[in-house]
Amino acid sequence: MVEVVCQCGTMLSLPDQYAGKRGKCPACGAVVNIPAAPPPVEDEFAPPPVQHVAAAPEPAMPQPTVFQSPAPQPAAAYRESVSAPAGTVREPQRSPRTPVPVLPPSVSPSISPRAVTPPPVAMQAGASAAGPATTDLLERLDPRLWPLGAKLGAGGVAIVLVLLIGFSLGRGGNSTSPQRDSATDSAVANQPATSGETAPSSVNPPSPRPKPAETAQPTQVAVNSSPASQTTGNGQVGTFQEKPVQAPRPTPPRTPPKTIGKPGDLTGGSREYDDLHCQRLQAQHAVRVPATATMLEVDGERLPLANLPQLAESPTPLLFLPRGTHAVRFRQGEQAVIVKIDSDLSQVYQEMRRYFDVSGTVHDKELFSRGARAMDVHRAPFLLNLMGATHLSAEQWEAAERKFRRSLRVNPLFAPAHLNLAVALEHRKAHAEAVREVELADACNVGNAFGLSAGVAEVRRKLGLPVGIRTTSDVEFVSYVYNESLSEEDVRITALLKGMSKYAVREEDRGKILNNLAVHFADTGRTELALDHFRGALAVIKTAGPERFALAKQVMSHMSDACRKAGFDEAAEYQAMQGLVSP
Amino acid sequence: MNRRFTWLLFAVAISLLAASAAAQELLDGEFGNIDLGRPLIEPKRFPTLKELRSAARKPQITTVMMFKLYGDGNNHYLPIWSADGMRLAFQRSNVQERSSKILLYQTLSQPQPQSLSDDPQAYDYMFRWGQNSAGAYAFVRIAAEAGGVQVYFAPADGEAAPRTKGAGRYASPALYERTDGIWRLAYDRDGQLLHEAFNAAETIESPLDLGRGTSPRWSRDGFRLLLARGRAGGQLAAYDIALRNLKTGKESLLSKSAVVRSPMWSPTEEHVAWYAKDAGDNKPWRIEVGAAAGTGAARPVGGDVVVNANFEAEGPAWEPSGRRLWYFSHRQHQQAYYPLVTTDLASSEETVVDYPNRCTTPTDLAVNPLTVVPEIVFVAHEGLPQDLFVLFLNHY
Repeated sequence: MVEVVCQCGTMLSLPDQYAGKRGKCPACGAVVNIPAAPPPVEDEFAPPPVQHVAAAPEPAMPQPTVFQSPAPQPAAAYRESVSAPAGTVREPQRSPRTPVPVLPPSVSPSISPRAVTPPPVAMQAGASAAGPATTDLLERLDPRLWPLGAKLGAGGVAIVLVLLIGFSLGRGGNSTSPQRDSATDSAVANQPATSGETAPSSVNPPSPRPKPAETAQPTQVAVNSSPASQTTGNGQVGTFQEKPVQAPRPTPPRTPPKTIGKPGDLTGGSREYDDLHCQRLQAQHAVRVPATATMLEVDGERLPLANLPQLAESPTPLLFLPRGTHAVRFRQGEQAVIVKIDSDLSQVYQEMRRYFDVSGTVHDKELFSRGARAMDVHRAPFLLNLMGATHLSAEQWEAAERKFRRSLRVNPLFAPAHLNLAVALEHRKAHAEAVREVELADACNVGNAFGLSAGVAEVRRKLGLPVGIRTTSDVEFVSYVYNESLSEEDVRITALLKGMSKYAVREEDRGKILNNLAVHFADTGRTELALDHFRGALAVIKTAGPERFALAKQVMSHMSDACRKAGFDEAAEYQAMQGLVSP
Repeated sequence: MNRRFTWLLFAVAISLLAASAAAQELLDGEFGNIDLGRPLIEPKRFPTLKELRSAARKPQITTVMMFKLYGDGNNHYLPIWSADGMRLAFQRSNVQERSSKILLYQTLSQPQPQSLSDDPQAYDYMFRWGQNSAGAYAFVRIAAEAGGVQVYFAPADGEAAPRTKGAGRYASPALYERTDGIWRLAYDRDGQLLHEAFNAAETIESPLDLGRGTSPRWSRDGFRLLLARGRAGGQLAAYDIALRNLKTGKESLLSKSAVVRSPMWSPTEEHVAWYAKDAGDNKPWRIEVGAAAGTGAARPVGGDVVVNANFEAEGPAWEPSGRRLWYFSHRQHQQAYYPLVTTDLASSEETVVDYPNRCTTPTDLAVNPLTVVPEIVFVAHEGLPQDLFVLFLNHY
């Protein structure tokens, strides 16, 4: 897919066939030059691509001059920054695309926000069957057969097509498909919905988990595309319509995962709900809180949150909102920004929980593989929160608490992690802190966006708090990073190394400087601080040159050592991650 | 024989490497041989953790690192930090082309800054980062295509475009970003201070005349404007520092000196600092500080201060806590070497801070507004041209 931003701010995501062409923006009608398709961005953790039969050159198709963007618009291509050079994985921008503050004329006709990019549509579970199947078929047609068909004439073409379709059907049952298994989602969707991030699932962990080898995994391999990127919203690619030719998928069997490539590679290899996907989900269901916000007011109701400047420290301070159109105001005396959320976050979140079977046999390997792919650098809080739930189910309370705090460090406005952290704190009798966390969970669960109201009410009762009465709570950030105090020397060294690292021209050297900052804390027994700074180093190293793999392994080995010395359960995780970091 | 000699050389090389590593005294897990990619002045290599710990523990203020950030044979001026301390802009003067360019480090890791314009005829100056903004800015351009002297505006990650138009000389822009997508821009047009509001689609408020004045500076809440108010009596280029409340329209004068320029909010916005001097030629500049509330008289803080005579600087340099002001002073120089000087607002205590004596006649000092240790940028000579230098000190 090729992405281009129109002068009016509309983001256009188009199939590669339009690269290098010109067309009209559907929003403003301006002529847009479509850039040439960038080189493919390889994810260093992706399994080797599945062998596809190259698509034949299509016969002359009418080239559309107006790009149809039927509602809902397709989600942007499932790839990281298109400007990254081949072989480089870059984290998305600091400001992931948030739902556009689209201003309806009735609210404030003369004011329109600066950003006018329309909101990307939430990724739909089980995207249109026609679209993916169509593209699937095109990719399997052998181009060598087309000239033969032309020579035989139309009848010959038809005969060849029939033969090839039959050939493809015969192979299609055995080959892996880039399409996500829609039947898996159906099976998942048919499971009874959970009641959100409810306390009982946290405080009453299920029976001990089976060994990983016994855990059934969905059989799927996503190669280089997401379901939505293969469609133009109505299941068609261009104007070529193709009836779905794949046999209806049965209810997915609980089969062991297929390993790709060498033994020891990532299990599954699915990109479903990896950090990039989670970032998109976060962006689709939240609005970014500006660094200068002094209050949060949604639809006229002020949220009981104070100390908002702390949010500026977070990489993704996004406030989740329920489905609908909302007026959000950030400062006294300034206008509200209109935010439109197109889909139900609670449903999306429940689907994610079901996907990882959080309430049952947690697919911890799937969670772990996604963390490894992200080099343990998360820009969305979901996975960390679910990992914390995994630790809870194994009664590893301290590890769980660390994961929940890490989740909140990514986004201090993520209600499920606040609620889970409240449960973990209450377990170790940190009552005052638990009260603060449940108040924050309540405040951040705007319009019951996560479906957590019942869970919040239950935890409030357990803590002896009145239900329905909120108190204003300070948003925190620093305390989610570390609870330990810093000496003046620590403050100075941190400032010096962070300050100097900004000027390093090469990411490798910047990563090394931040690693050294982490070593300062590891050397003095401040393990959580050290881990936080190690992750800061990894975040930079991810975008470095060819040295990044070796460097990342070294940093992870330092993390593993630090965890081992401190007796943290995460030591094994970082040990295992080293083995997953390779070109 | 040759083989023995080769092995001997190899052994010597290994020993030297080992000795070198030992000399750095690295902790377990620490990386050595870090290359910042900048020409270091002091130290000669990136400091180790042990060296940094030692520096951080020293009670006196000392240099931790100094390096040259940029130099290209031209003279450079007026480094300006963005409010988030992550971006830097400065001015380059090309005598041969008789042009001035604004150079930007949108990220400090850029090997080279980007120029706002490649047009050799364009003269860019008076750059200001947007208040409450992440990366937006305004500046003034003198170019035939723009039609005279106009204010240009660029949103974050966007292209600069002229904001003003028509006859007149537009200068001293000050930009403010609201959270609802509205921008407020104050500027001087032919000596009259104007203020307008706009968003991406349209003008919200047409330019409003605030009277004779220049050098506007927004407060963080956007309700107050610090400015140099044209002095009554019609005397040209005679100003007083004033603070205007845009809600009430009330204005209070803060200065009394004959000549004042470059007012600057303190980080807490409780005080205002500006450069001042007495009337007459060759009078020394000083820094004066007044309470933003307008209570009490302004008082001098630093004397015989080095001030850029050709371009109006951002203003006196506050440290992030607002406790002290930093500057270069003609009183303290030793030939062409000017140490740093800092004055405590409360106690008026003056402290001289030395740094590597490798550059001369420095000026235009800018202190990073967020870093809790001194991260200071200034321009100075290391040879003929005036280059950009960065200095890290161990603490404030």
